[in-house]
Amino acid sequence: MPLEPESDAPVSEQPSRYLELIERLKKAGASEAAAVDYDKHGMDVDVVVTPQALHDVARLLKSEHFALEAGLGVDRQPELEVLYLFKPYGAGPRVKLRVRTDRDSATLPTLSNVFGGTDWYEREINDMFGITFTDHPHPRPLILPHYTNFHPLRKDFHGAPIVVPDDTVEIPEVDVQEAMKRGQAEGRRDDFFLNLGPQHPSTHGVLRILLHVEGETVLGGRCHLGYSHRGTEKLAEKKQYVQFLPYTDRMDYLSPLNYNWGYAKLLERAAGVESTPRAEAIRLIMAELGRVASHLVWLGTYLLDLGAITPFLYCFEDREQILTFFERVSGQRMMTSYIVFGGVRNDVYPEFVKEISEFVKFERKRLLEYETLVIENEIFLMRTQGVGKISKEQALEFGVGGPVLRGSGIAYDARKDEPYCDLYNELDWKVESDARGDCFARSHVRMNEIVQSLNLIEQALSKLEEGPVRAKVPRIFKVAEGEYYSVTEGPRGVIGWYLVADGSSNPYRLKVRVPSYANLQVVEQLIPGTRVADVISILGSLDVVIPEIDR
Amino acid sequence: MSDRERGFFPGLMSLLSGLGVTFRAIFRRRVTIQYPHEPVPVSPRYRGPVHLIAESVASEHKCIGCLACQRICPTGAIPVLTTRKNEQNKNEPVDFVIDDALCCYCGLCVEACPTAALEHTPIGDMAVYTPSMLRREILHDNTVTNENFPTRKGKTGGKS
Amino acid sequence: MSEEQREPVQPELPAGDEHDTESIPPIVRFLPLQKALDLARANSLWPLTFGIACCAIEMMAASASRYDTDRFGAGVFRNSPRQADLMIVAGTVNLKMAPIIKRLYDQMPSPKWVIALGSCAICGGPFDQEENYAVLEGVEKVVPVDVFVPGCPPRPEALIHAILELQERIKSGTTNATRA
Repeated sequence: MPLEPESDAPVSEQPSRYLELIERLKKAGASEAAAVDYDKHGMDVDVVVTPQALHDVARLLKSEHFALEAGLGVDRQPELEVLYLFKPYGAGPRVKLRVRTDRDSATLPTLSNVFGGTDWYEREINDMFGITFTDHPHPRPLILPHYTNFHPLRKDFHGAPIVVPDDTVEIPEVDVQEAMKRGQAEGRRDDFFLNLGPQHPSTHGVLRILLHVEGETVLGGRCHLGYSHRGTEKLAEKKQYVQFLPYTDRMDYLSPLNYNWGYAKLLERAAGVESTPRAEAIRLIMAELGRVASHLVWLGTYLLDLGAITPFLYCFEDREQILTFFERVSGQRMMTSYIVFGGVRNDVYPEFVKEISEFVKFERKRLLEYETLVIENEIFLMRTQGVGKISKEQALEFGVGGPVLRGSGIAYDARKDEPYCDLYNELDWKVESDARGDCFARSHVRMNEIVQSLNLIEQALSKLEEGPVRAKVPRIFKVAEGEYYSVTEGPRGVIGWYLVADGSSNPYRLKVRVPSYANLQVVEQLIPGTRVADVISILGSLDVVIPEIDR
Repeated sequence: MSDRERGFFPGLMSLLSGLGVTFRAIFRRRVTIQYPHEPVPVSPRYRGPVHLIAESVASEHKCIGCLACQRICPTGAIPVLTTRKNEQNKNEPVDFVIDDALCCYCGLCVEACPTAALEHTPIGDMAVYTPSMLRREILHDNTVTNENFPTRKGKTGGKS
Repeated sequence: MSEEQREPVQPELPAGDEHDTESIPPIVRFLPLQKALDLARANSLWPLTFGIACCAIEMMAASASRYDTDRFGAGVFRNSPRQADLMIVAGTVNLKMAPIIKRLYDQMPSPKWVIALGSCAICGGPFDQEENYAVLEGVEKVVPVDVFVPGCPPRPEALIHAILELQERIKSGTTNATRA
């Protein structure tokens, strides 16, 4: 049954805080710019531009310190639309920049010369919608195999036969190839390609980086994605809203609860439903436990990459305890599907509060041990300090998130700056940041974040008031026509859900803004000039989850 | 002093503190579960393979053939569910197959069942030699027992 | 547990499967030595470090402190296929990945075995739905699989169970592996 959408006042009657910005955007060449109700749509300003004015408007946003949040395509039938989402890190409006092209020509100017971070988003849109971006620096398929001749997210696509190709050889990146030829012409004989991955223990999944190296020094590299692309966004269009829930777990398997939460938040925003206070507290506790578990996996595997085996065993031992809680509460160790539309699926078990507070005490002691064992370790310091520096400007341009952003000195956290749960405002905690910007800073931020998460859990346990854990909502529902966006702060950064609903029980288009995507994209900027071993250190410190990027 | 000499004492201290942690681990309690000789504790809420709850004898169940589970299943893990009208003109299932290879253990079917006829079993270990063994006809053999999983053969694990 | 209960179930291989050991009779068969070799191989499986998606984390958990696959001699994860004899396909195999899995499998020295861990590796699982364009319907389409582990993801003890099952199959000489 469809939920009645809340009657919202026309946009023009609402007092907008962003009228000045809208004026400036119009002056810069935007054909339409209007304020949007944030509470309903998760967006502040909606801007429509023509392809010709795209650069001017984007430059204006860049000069006002907006960061690129995401880029996505939507098949509006018959036209194709590309959306760029911008948000300044700190207080400020979230801006949606829309540009359209017709289906047959499907050509747009690239934005990657203004915001470097649009590079991958545009390549992905090219794969999925067949939109050509003129003057794009690397016009190559990003996610789909290079022989693909269809565009899956176009609405007129209806499946393709699954045939394993015999040919496995991929042509290396043209610019890398040219760079190598140049090197050989200059008499450098040590120039060669090095394939890091797809099967490599420290790429944390199936990432392939084509490195151009001279001896031990890395001259450059290109990431090849798509080795675990599963077509989740196409799948979402074929599933009902409730049926898509299990798939949200499987995007980022290290923090399924944060993804569940974001998806639940999106549907709640679209339907105008609030979850119950008890459910909110349970959500917070579970999501923060998930964050601790995710950071513990990062710590274990990062040190495994750097050559230490023991911390892996320790961290996984702690993580097993958290997974036991997950299993006892939700019924699954990893794929919890626990946070749902309107609340959580079931109440916690009676001994929950006692066991969690015991675990928090235990984990605090363990963290002290890890600090002395790892963070003060001489080898660890040498491998991380001064390696892979991300400047503030780079962070904004590429829209990195989470500890990677906070490790560059920008103390932005969606939990604080865009609270999606009231408890985050009420409880006493702070956003960790470190201005150094190197691998060590990121590690440092993550270690401190575990402590902050434990603080949050401890305080939220006392906020667990009696009451229902799920608001009265129908199981199968329809979402009113419109566009909705919601964010949650995952362990790797801002998880954004962009939903285009057409009033049916299936999403028309569901795009997930995954934090690892932006975090990994910056790696191509970081590795030139480093050693091969540093690449491993940088990759590990970014803490990427590849299936989340590929989706 | 060379770099190497400067790094000597901090390096040594790092090594010793590391060894200290290792030494203390000797006195900690054992965390390894000696599976398969020892059962792995499984939560009563664990979402294992789905089966029909038997009321009294194995052939009786509460299924009313409403197909709610099949409709809500996100992955199509209930490939076969056919129904017929019985003598009292009520729906009853004829064939009910769950494919564990497709199942994603989300529990939406158990939630959707209006008569609470479905249930999860807390079984986690069920390796098989062919995927066809994972198709379970749960109507006539509604207990997830060793017969359903030929390779389990009374191994420990599962209910504890 | 009685001896006949240990008898593993014969795999239903398609007719004319090139990996069927029975169809390639060895020139000389030296049974006691073969049995001893099988016993040794079964108890020192070296898996390839090869995680694709979610199941890889459970594979890591199985090798970590609580479950510890080292107890069965299967905890030495090798990073190079040249040193490994067990491939645990842990995750979704898509069209871009399938040729690479084939190549890795070909690089592993014989005899070699494959465990398909999780729904995706068995049959594409939750991702092999209508209008699917990327996910392969099971890793069996590329490499011969010996043991299938259902679950999404399977619990770590399910992987241990699979390793134990594989050991029994190796000892009884009924795997799909091509012999060296």
